[in-house]
Amino acid sequence: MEAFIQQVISGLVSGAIYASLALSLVMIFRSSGHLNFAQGEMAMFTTFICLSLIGWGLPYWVAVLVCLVLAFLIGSVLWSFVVKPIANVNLLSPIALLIGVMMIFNSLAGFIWGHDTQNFPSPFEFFSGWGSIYIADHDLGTILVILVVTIIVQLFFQFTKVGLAMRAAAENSTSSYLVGIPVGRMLSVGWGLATVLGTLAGVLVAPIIYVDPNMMLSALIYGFAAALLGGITSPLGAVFGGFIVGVAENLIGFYLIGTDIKMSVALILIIVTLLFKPAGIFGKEAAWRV
Amino acid sequence: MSDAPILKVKNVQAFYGSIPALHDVSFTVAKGGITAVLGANGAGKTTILRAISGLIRVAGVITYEGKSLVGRRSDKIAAGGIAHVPDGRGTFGSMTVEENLLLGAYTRRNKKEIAADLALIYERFPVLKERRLQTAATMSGGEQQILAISRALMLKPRLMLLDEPSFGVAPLVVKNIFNILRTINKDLGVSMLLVEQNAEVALEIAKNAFLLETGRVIVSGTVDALLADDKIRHSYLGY
Repeated sequence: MEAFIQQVISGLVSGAIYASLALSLVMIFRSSGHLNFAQGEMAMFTTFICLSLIGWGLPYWVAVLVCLVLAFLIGSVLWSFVVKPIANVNLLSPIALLIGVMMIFNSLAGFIWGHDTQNFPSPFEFFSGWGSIYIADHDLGTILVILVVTIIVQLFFQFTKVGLAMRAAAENSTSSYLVGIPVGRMLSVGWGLATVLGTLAGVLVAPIIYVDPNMMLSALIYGFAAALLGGITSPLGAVFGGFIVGVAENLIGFYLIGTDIKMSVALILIIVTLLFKPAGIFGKEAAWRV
Repeated sequence: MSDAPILKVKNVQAFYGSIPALHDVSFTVAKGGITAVLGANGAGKTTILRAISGLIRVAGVITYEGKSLVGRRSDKIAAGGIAHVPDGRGTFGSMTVEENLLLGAYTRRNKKEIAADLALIYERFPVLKERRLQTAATMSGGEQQILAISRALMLKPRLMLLDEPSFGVAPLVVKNIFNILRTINKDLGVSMLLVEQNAEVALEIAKNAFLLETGRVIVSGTVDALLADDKIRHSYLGY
């Protein structure tokens, strides 16, 4: 029984990380209709920047704040100058481009910071005592942060003017222009915010899995599984998906197929979701009038 | 009608890519007036509206309230007080009626005024109030047209560009919609450029009109003059 609880809890923790990455994937998909394959590597890159800032003496929270701002800039610049020019050429070009960007960030990180695994501090040490024998302070803090951030993102999209404008720009750019929405700027903000969310994932997972240029490679796959399962258009779905993927992978890995190949759970979930319910559990079905 | 026209279009050529779709088109819309653009499918009527809204490449002169629109970005043109109701209505299908209306007011700052205008719209169009929280895509053609026009009104436009408001709408509802347009023009003083295939309905509310054929203006003038000329009525208006 204890082992079961342990697996579920650790599944929830990794689920929180997948959820955070999934959130950024959803944000970009809602903004510009693209799947950002470079999301994980961008998160890893900004996490490294944060590590350097801390190494140079900046307090933890200041470093995180600075690199979140940098993340916003990197995301919006990437959209405006790299992706936007070929955004609508066809379906495959942006994908190929983003995979290229992914590899560039990976190599660049290795070039700047080397390939050794490094430690990353956790901000939740002051939680000591909150956690119990079942769950570490950092893990509990991570889950709470992700839940709060998700609620904020959902509220942002549903109840703010900018959130509404971003949803409009993603749904129908012509009509958006005609009501006066600067569509290009909305997309840029969407990509910036998504990169901020991805960086949050990186900063939260770094103390657990340690920092190196490849830290986010597998997390991205889980993030995609989570986003697809929960619904690529739904922030709540992304988070829900994240927790399901995390817990399912742990339970199935522990009890059925062994922890070595537990990533196959994520891959199979992706295939099954796309085959049977591509919109995901909470996603909106894409429908066109013909 | 008064002084200078609110919209002046002169020697305009418009392009889809490198293909010209409008040739040397010239017309004006009087301030507070309604000008109808008539013509068959493919004549270039929608292209004219797109040219004014900055959605396609244009050569020539387009001035609105004395200022040139050519080369300006579409969202800036809309922010200048031009509400374009596109063909197909352009509603945000996945959003609620209320969200669609609020998006119409995107360029406005004053929250109190926006709320007041929203309440007025609901009072004028109870069908929208009933369906406030309903997804726009689930409404009928006529209801969506009323929604599209209302969204345009929320922008507080001085000029409305309407692309075939009668399309796909039941005849009785068409009458209703055109009465609404006539009232908007009379009571709020909103000038209109009205593209229509249904010449009869359009000419009931328009004061001026012109006919397009393969991208060229072939006949233009006041509606009274056009209707009085039997030849024009028979050949081009079909009745």
